[in-house]
Amino acid sequence: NLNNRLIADHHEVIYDESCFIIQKNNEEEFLALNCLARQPQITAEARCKLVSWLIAVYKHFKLSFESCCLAVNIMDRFLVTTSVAADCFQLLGVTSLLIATKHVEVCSPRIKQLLSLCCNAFSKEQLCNLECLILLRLNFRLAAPTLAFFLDYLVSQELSWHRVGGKDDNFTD
Amino acid sequence: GEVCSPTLVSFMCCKFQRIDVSKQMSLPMDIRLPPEILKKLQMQSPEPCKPLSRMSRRASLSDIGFGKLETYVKLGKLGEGTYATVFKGRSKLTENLVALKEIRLEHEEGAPCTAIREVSLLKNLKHANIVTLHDIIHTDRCLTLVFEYLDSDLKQYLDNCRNIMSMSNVKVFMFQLLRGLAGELKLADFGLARAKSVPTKTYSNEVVTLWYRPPDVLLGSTEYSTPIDMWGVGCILYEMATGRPLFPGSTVKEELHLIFRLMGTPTEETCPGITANEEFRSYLFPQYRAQALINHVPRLDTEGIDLLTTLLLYDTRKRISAEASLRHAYFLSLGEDIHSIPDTASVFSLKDIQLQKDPGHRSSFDCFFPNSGRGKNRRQSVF
Repeated sequence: NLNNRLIADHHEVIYDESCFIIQKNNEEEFLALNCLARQPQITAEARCKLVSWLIAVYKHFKLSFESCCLAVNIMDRFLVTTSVAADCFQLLGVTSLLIATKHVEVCSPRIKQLLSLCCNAFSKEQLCNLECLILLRLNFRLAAPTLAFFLDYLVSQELSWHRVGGKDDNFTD
Repeated sequence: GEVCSPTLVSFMCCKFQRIDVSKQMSLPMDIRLPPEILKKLQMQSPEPCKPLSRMSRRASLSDIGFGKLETYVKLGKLGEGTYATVFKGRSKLTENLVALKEIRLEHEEGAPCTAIREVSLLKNLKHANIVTLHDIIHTDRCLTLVFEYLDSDLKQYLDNCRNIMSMSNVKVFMFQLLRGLAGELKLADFGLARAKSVPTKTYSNEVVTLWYRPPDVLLGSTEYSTPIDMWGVGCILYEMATGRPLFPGSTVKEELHLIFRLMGTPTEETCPGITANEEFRSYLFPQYRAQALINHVPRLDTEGIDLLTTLLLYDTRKRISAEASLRHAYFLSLGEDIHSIPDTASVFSLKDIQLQKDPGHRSSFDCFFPNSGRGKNRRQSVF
């Protein structure tokens, strides 16, 4: 019985490890470097504000950290492809969050709820149109490796390393 | 929103046909371009060694006809689901048959999450046993996914042979399914780092079949790991060998009841931790004893029964993995070479692997079973 358990534990390590390698390899494809470089109206400060707001929103809906990270990634990658007017920026934020939750969560927030968090400054039609536009601009490439995944993996490696008293030589930084 | 469990996603993506190699969202090899477009393409890339920018690549693909509905001719409806209608079609570019999946985007909550996931997951996968997505077309109210055309999926296949498959074909299909699940098909490929949660309750009105769900998930486990899929694989092995679904429950309670009646009510010994599970305790199931599977699947040989038994273990730590099951004695008769073919090649690239004529095949049995075939319940099947 103990033997079975050890074998199972071992399988899980291999499994986690190969997930990590795959995600690490995919990471580069999903980076959004200098996403504000060609944005005439969006400043780094505005992006920072929007991300802080999105963090509050994901907590409000009790969503996973994964959703939040993916939302920011979707938003940034969209910014690389398209200029966004400052007054639409918040709509981009919630729409990215909606897409991320559709990819990640069992249950997404309602569009109505998201719009009301933006003080109903936007219509449902606008949101749905932007949703389609984001999906098309990103070519439906949504399965981005996220900060949440890497953190989760590294923390679990760190923990198992401690559990076996530092003898695990599989741990790499 | 709609619920689509990773388990179902992975099964639905799996295909079981003979297929060829080009496994990407890329130009088909046999594409025939009109000369004027070829010229245009060459003019567009002044430095031929430099890769086209994303923008100009998109423009050139659309010149060829990608992303345009006019490129495809609809030939007839293949089926209709909750959020999509599937048509058989032909590509004017390649003259190949394609399957056109039209997804309606006009929903209360925008684009359906099932569609978003289907496309984004398929984009990351390249495998001979996973259906290839060729093109995506966006029109006003619809998103059309263009897939390679498959003669039939496994459900149609089963219907077609009156649910009596040759046992040697069962083995080949089983191997292909496990191949799809082993190796390449990690959760990470699905971008499902998040997939540590599996929907267990019905959050939506959409019918999510319970037939292939393991008891640990039915009893509230939200840890996603491959053993979840492996239970479903066991159910599919049974279904192929007998022609009937194994546990066709319509509610969680009924599903568990069907499982326990056959496999025995779980005990601390067969399923560690079960006696502490509140949900399990609240159901107050009778103490069933496990029945011998051989009596229920008489056509399956001893090795097959052993594989089925290890797929249907309650203890997820003991349930066999996809990798290990490919090495199971049941598959020994397929030969050793089958383990060394590349992911993108079909098992049928080996000349020893061939499908047999199924005993129940429609053409030979039409006169004997004029009215048999699918019952109402079969619609729920993953096939």
